[in-house]
Amino acid sequence: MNIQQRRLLFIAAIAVQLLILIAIAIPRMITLNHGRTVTFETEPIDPWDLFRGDYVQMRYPFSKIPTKKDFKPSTPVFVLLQQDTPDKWRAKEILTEKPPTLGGDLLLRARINYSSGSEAHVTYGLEQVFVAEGTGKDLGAKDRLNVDVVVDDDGNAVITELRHKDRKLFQWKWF
Amino acid sequence: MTDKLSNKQQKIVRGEIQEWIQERLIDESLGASLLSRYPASENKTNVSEILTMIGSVLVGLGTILFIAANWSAITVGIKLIIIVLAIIISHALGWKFYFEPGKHPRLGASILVLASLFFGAGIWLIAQVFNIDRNFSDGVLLWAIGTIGVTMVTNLVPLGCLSAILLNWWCFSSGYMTYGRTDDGAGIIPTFLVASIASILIAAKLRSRAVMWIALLMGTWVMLFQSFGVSTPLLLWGLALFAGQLWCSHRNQLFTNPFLYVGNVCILGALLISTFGHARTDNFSILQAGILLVATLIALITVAWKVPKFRIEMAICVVVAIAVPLTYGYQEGAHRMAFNIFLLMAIGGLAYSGLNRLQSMAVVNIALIFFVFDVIARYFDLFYTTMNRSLFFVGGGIILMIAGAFAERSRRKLEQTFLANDESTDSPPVVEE
Repeated sequence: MNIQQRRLLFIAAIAVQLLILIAIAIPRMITLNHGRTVTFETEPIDPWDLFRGDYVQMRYPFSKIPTKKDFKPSTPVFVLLQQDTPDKWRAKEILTEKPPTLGGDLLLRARINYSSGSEAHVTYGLEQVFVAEGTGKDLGAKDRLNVDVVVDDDGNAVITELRHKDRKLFQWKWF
Repeated sequence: MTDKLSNKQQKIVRGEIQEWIQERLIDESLGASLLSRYPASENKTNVSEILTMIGSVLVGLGTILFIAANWSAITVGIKLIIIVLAIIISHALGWKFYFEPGKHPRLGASILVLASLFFGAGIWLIAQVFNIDRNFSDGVLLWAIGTIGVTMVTNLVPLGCLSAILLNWWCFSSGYMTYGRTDDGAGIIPTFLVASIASILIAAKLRSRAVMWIALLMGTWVMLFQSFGVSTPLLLWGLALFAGQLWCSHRNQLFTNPFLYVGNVCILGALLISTFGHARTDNFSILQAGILLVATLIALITVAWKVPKFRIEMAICVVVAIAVPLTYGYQEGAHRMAFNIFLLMAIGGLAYSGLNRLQSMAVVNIALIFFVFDVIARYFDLFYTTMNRSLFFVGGGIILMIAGAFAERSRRKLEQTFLANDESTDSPPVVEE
C-alpha cells in the first residue's frame, strides 16, 4: 500500500467515525422535530457527579409500575402513560411489544431495572440532566421539578427543559 | 540470520567476542561477521514514548473534563462542533507527525491514540446530549469499530492494544447487561467469539505480541466471570488456546509464548478450580456451553488436520473437551473425584508432552507448578479442620519445602534430558522459549 492509498483509507476511517456519531444523533434529532411535547412532574434524588459536575438525577411517579408480569433485568419494554392533569401522568400498562394504536395515551421506551412479580422498576433514559455548576446541590428531595420532554410515536424521548418553580435549570438549544 | 537479541544479551555476546579476539581464538574480521549475525533489537518502548503516550491521555482527559465542567454553558451545536473538530484535527495532526518524513513518529502515534480517545468521548457526549439510554456495551462496540478502522490503516500497536481492550470490554459489559438472562439464550458467547477472534486477527495483522497478550488475557478475564458451568468456559478457552500454541509453534513462533502461557494456565487452573467442589450447576446453560464447545472443537480439529504431528495432543484435547461438560449433574463427591483425576492426568500429560514431544521447558514448568498447587490444595482439604493448628502449619511448611525441592530436582533433570536430546539430534526444538 503506497502513501496515497493509505491516506485515502485513513480519511475513510475518520469518515466512518464521524458517520457513527451522526448515526447516533440523527434519530433523536428527528424525534425533536416531529415529537409531541409533554410536561412531567418529577423529584431530584442525587445532585452531583465527580467527572461531570452538577447534574440532577430524577425519579418519576411512573418509574415504579404495579404489574403481575415478571420481567428479567435489562429487558426493553414500552410503558403506556395516561394523563391525569397537565403535568401528572400515570403508568397504564407495561408492554414488551409496541401497541398498534395509542389513542390519547403516551408511549415511552424503558428498560427493566428489576421486577418482583407485583411491581416493575424501570428507567427511561430521562433520569438525569446536567445543569450549571452549583445549582444541582441546591435541590433537595422535597423539591418538585417540571420536565418538558419531546416524545415521538415510537416512544423515543428527549428532555428539552427542566424547571424548578420559575427558574430554568436546563434548556435544550442548538446555539 | 538469528533472532534479534535484547540489549543485555547483545552486551554479553559483544563482550565474549571481544575476549575471543584478544585471546586470538578468532580474528577481527571473523568477530565482525559473528557480531553481524546478532543485530541489536530495536528499543521499541522508551521513556519518551511512554511520556508522550501518558501526555496524550492527560490532554484527552483534560479536554473532556473542560467540556464537562462547562456543560450547561455550552449549547448543543457548539458541543457537537467541538467534538467533531477535536476528532478531525487530532487525526490530521497525528497523520502529519507520524507519516510525513522528518517529523516525530512517536508524537504522531500518541496524537493518533488521543484522537481515538476523543472519538470514544464523543460517543458518550452525544448520547448524553440526546438522552440516549444507550446500552453501555453498544457505545463500546461503536468505539471499537471506529478505532479498529484507524488501526488497520496506520498499523499502530498502541491503537491495536486499545482496539483489543475495547472489543473485550464490549464483550464483558454486554455480559453484564444480560446478567440474569443468561438462561434464555446464547448469552455472551457469540459476542465473546467475535471479540476474541477479532482481537487475535488484529494482533496477527500488526504482528504484535503486546496486542496478542492483551487479547488472550482479556478473553481469559471474560471467561473467568461466566456464570454458567463453573470453570467449563475457562477450560474450553484454554483448550482452544493450546491448539493455538501448537499452531503457532509450527507456523508462526512469534505468538507461541502468549498462547502457551495463557492456554496452559487456563486448562490447569480451570481443572484445579473444579476440584474444590464449588459446583454451581443452577446457571449451567447447554446452549452456551454447546456453542463454546463447537468453537473449541473446530479449533482443535483444524490444528489436527493442518499439523498432523500434533494429532495425538489434539485428540486428547477433544476427549477432555467433550468429557468435562458431561460431569455436570454428578454428586458433589463424584464431581470432585472426577476433576482430581482430570487434573492429575492433565499435569502428567502436559509434562510428558512438554518433555518428549513439544520440547518446551515452559510447558513442563507450568505442569510442575500446578502439581505443587494441587498438593497444597489437597493438604488444606484434608487436614485444615482435622488437625491441631500448630501441627497443620508445621506440616504444611514441610510439604511446601519438599514439593519445592522435588519440583526443582525434576526441572533440572528435564533440562539435562533436553540437553542430551539436543546433542543426539540435529533437529531444533519445536518450541523455543
